Amino acid sequence: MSLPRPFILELRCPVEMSILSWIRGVIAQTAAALGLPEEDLSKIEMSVDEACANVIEHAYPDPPEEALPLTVRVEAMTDALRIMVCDSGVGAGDLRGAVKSIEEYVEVKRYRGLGTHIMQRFMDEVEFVQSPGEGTRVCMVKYLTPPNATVGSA
Amino acid sequence: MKTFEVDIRSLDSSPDVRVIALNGYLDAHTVADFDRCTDELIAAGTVKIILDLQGLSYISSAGIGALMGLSQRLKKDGGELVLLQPTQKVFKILDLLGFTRIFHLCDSEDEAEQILRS
Amino acid sequence: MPILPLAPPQFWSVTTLLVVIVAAWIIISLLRARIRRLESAIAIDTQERESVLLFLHRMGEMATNQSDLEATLEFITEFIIDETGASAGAIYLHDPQSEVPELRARVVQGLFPPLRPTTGYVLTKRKYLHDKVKAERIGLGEGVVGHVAKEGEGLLILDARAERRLPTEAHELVPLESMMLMPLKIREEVIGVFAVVNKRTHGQVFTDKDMSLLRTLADQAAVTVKTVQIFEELTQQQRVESELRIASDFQRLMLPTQMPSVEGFEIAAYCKPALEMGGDYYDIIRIDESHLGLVIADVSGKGVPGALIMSMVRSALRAEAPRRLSPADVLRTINQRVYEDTRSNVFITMTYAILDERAQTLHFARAGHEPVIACPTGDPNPVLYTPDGIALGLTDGEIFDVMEELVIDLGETDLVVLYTDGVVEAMDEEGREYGQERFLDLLHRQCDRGPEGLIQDLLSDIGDFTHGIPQHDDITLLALRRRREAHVIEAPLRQGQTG
Repeated sequence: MSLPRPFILELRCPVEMSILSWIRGVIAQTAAALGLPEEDLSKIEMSVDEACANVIEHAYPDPPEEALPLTVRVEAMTDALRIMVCDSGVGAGDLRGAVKSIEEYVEVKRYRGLGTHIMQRFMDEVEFVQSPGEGTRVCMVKYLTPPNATVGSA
Repeated sequence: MKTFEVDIRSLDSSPDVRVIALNGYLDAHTVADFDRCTDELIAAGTVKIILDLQGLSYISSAGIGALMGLSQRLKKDGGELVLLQPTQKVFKILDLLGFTRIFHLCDSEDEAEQILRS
Repeated sequence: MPILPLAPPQFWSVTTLLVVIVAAWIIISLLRARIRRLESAIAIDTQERESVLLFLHRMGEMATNQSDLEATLEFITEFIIDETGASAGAIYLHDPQSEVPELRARVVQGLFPPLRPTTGYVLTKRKYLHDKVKAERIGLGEGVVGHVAKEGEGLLILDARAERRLPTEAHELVPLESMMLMPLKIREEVIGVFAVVNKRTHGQVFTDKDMSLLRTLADQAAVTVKTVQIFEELTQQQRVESELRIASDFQRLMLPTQMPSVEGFEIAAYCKPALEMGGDYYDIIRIDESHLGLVIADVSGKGVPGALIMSMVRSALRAEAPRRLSPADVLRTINQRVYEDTRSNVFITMTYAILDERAQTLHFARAGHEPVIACPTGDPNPVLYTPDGIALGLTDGEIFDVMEELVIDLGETDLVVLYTDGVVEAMDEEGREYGQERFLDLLHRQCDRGPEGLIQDLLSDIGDFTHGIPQHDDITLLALRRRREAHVIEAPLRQGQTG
């Protein structure tokens, strides 16, 4: 039994670090209900967590006017899962800050840029779209392998 | 679901080794609590830490960053950080990203103690 | 009926009944008046539409004949005087030579008065009168013409004798009764003013209906005048290259400035004109509260004539779309006009689709245009729809009228894409074409991307393919899909804090 696709879910959240566990919980449950492979579940959960943490940390230097300005939109299609994390703030960085490898992360010893690295590593596509005055939209895609197709090495 | 709890004790056999048991999840929210706790231990002179991860359900980049920072500080003071028995989920995250090659991971407290003694 | 001092229940009910009858009678009369007003409004619309279509038809003829500014202005003036039932008219344009903003009459027809105070010459011959009017320099804000040019709004003068902004001499030369003035505007820029005086039928004055017609005609005239004007200012040598640029600027002017928001559907469109050729355009027309017309077209003619034909087709389509809910019928009607106007030296390929928002369907017909592509839900292979139909302007009658109409169920479709050949014919440095196969392959992979995302992906893929080779043809895309309803969950505002 799994949710019929296309299935679209939109979460509206406050910009508070304490909401992250709730977001992870909903995303994990949704991904499981969609019948996504076990392999992908924690990757998706973690990528969303990183994207949201990024927004909460950077996008709102001043308290936002709206109560729930952080939106997580999950679009589950037949062949792909698209996740958009959108804010209306001043921007949540971009992929330039991402470390290229774990070796770089360890050697540089600044311990920054791991979140975006994780998003790129765990998802098939990651894109930061920034429009002035409209905040940032992080789009992430995970392509889904049809259940009966042969799976190569992950 | 528990959010995050820290339980600290010393090893009977090696009183200078502190065991920190983490319960719940270590993410961008709870990492502040973790940092506060380890800061206190280091300020009190602790250099050898076993991080018991049996109760840790999740770790994010912020959590990994905190572990990296802690490990570095302990090494600088001549100490070491050892991770004990991560849950399958946490192990998988660390493994997928390549951190299992960077941290000392142990299956038992005895093994961890051995590493910290050497 | 006896009226009792103490009213029994029957008495009240009779009164109530009377009140109800009177109220009903009033409401019915009001409704009747409203219906009559609506009916006359519809009649006006029909008449106005006919005028506009005729005007466009003539404009099309002039465009294909490459007429000069003088002839264009003469035509416009004559046409507008005729259609508004005026006895005289003049077209004032900004004088490019003068340093301060000034308007001068370029064409005057009929008994039209000078609008600045004169020094009392008695002007009897009409020719001298015209020369006098043309010699006047009218400053911005000066008199009625200057006022209209400055404010950018039309002016209806019902009693010219009471209008203080008209000089007294004007009445001596021409007995003025009523007058209409309308700015010639392109978007917000006023390029001139059109003025007509006195109804031909004695004793009548201009009405709101005349104003509305004048406004529509002036809007059309403004675009044509501006284009011909720019074109004329250039030397022969400059013309060739500039013509293309003007046409492409003009083309941009034709495109919708913003997408209408349609509840329940996502629509995105994109048009990138190429410099050296092409005459693509798209349009989105609100037909009624539940139908939306979607157009994508490619005009074969280059430069200014092509651009004017495009404008003509666009206006004809905008006028015709609200009258018919069959795309094939609309294309047949448009073809009739295009064929008559362009005398077969220009042809246009077009797909016209009607989105039925309630039924969630897309009915469409195509006139020699590229296929319509749809990605069915749950099927990875995009479907090409190629209904029969030949390009507009090539032929008329029976051969053209064989036009097939197809329908797509949007409830069962992830995405529908309309495009022009510039997409599949984009070339790389070795002259290879992007091709339909690569296009379909991208659609196959990205069909759930949504209209906006798909257009972005496609453009970047074309960019990857062409490797920076400048495009030689316009690239135009229009995509839509049913808006997917999201299940919205609001997060609990306060999470338990950790200690």
